[in-house]
Amino acid sequence: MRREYAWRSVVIAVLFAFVGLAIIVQMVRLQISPDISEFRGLVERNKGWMEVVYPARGEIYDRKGYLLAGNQTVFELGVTLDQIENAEYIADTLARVLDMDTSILLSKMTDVSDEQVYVMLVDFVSGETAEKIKKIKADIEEKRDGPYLEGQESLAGLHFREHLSRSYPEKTIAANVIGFVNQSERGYFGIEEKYNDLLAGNPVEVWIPADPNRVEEIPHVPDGTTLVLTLDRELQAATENILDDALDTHGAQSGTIIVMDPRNGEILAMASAPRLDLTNYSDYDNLFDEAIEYNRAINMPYEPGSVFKILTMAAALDSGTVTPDTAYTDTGFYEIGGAVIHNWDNEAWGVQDMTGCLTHSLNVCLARIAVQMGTEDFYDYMVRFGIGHPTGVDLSGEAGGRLRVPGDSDWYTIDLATNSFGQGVTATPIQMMMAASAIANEGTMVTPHLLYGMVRDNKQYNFPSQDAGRPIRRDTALTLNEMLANALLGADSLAILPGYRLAGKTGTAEIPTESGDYSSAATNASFIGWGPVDDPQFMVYVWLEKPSSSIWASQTAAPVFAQVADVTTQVLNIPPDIIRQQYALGLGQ
Amino acid sequence: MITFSRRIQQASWRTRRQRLGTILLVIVGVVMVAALYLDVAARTTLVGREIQNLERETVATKAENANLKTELARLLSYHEIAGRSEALGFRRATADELVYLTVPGYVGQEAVNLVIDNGTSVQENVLTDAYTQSLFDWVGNQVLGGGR
Repeated sequence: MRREYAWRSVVIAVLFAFVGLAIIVQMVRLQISPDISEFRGLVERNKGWMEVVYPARGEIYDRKGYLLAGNQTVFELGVTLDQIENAEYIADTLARVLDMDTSILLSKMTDVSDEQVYVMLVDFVSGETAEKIKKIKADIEEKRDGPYLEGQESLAGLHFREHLSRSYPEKTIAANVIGFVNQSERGYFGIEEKYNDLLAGNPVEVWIPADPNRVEEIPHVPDGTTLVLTLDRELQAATENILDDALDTHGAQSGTIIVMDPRNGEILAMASAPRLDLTNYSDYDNLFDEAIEYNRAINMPYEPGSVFKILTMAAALDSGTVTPDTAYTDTGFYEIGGAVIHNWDNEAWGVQDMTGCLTHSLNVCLARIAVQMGTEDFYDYMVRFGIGHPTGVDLSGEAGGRLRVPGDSDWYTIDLATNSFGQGVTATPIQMMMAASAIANEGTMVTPHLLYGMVRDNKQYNFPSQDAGRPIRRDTALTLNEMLANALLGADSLAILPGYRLAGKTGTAEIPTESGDYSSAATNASFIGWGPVDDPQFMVYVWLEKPSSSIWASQTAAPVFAQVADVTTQVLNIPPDIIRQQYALGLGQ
Repeated sequence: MITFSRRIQQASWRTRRQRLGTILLVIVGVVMVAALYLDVAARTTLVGREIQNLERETVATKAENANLKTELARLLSYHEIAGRSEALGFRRATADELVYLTVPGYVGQEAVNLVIDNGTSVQENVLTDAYTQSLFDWVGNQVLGGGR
């Protein structure tokens, strides 16, 4: 009986042996097959793929958390060549929707090499537009009731790849500060360029295994760092509006306004005209002739004129050359180095004290003081104030200005006199702000900056303010602060803001011509001021380039300063002096 | 006793059965280990696939988040809000219209803190040891670690 059925076991054993042998034979055959390289390639291709992972670019916020620069999804449209049924129709459709040239699109699909399998047709297509094209494609596919026939409408082969791109929801607001990112994801100007490496993160080429068991091998690529700026969006927008109005009202060619906290160097607003709409940065060439025009506040040095007198006076007081009560008899002219210095009105102002010199902005007075102080002391103080050097503000492309000093081949004796009232020396508005911060901030100069903090790995790191030295003593700063506040009141200035005691100084600078002379017809009108005098919380710099309504800063820049100061006190919740002092004394309700 | 032993040894069917039993025992053991490996491998693969899907979802969610943030920022942009305010009849207050009040404990508006503290923490390694260790690792852990 057992032997009768033994053949069954033998058959099964042979069957298993045959299957096993067949597997072994097949394995050996594959190893020695002439197609082995093809098989290996197939295996390699299906194992995974290399991919460059671009981390999402970090966002930029203002100090109150409003998004100034973010990201949004855009689409790359491309075709897989062997899936195309009707290239002409694809080109026609895209050209119609995207307002492009059909022939260019068509040539991209036809002028290809044999190895090419995919062609990118257009990138950075908005989500809305991509949806339109997707709908057209879906409609065509829905209507199709059979295989493709020659000449039939077809968008087969057209693919959509989504990726993130920069978005600027505030458009022109703070455009000069933020800068922009081009299609190659590189930052240009401002914060975008200065902090490009931080914002962009590090693109990493990674191996993506198809095998789900190797999923842990995919490295985590962190997104770019998010930045929080010191800017206040509301103040920035209001300042830009005031600047634009001022350009219209006073017929100025361009201008800039900076609002800074003199206690810590935080820039609250930085307006520059003209400004770019960041959602359409291709307009750059239409708006700017040179890169330095992008942000005049930091890029463009100019002769600041009489606003510079506050630095000369600070140096003179600090060095003991003069006191506020030092009497001076103004004759209206001063001869030095073979040239004659005159006052702005060519008049003699008689006996004045130092506050009077500032009130009436007397060139002759300041020139005499500088000469009395001596070349060494004067330039030593100017270097301490940072004149001639970049401030280190965290924006790209800051200019340094020029301070010619004794020993330079182009320095002459007359320069000491003209430099004292801000001619023959160049500085950027931000440099003047930094230098003057020493006067508003009890002798300590602060480094202007825009980065308040950064967010990475769900942690926010805030940056402390940085001092930039102590060019003058505390008592000098307090004295000059008072003098400038009195000078503003004494001049019955248009910069006065009712309810607030402010300190400030106008500056009307003649502009050097190409021949080296100065033109009185065209001026740079500036004003620098801060307040409240007993507790300075804001500092404002106004510069209007070549105003046509009046050449004088007292008529143009001064009222603009008052407007900015008014908005600033509201946005920063700074009550009028009398209310603030009542609260300080505990008398407020 | 010796006679009894020889009788048993001489029963050839009994010897064959013992050998067959041993072979079957080995086969069953191998099959069990293979099944265990297969089970763990299958579960690891499923989790791996789930992680791949979650990674894709994360990317998509991040993109959607970015879009929503941009859209929200557009709706709350300065010019948008200013336009809507004006349409509703609002205007900037003048200095004369401002009233200042003392608010106990209010220290003024401070700069934003963007850190989201939602009380949850993400565990870095979400896979348990069962998905990463080999059978030998597991046995080693059981023996050395006292069977955790």
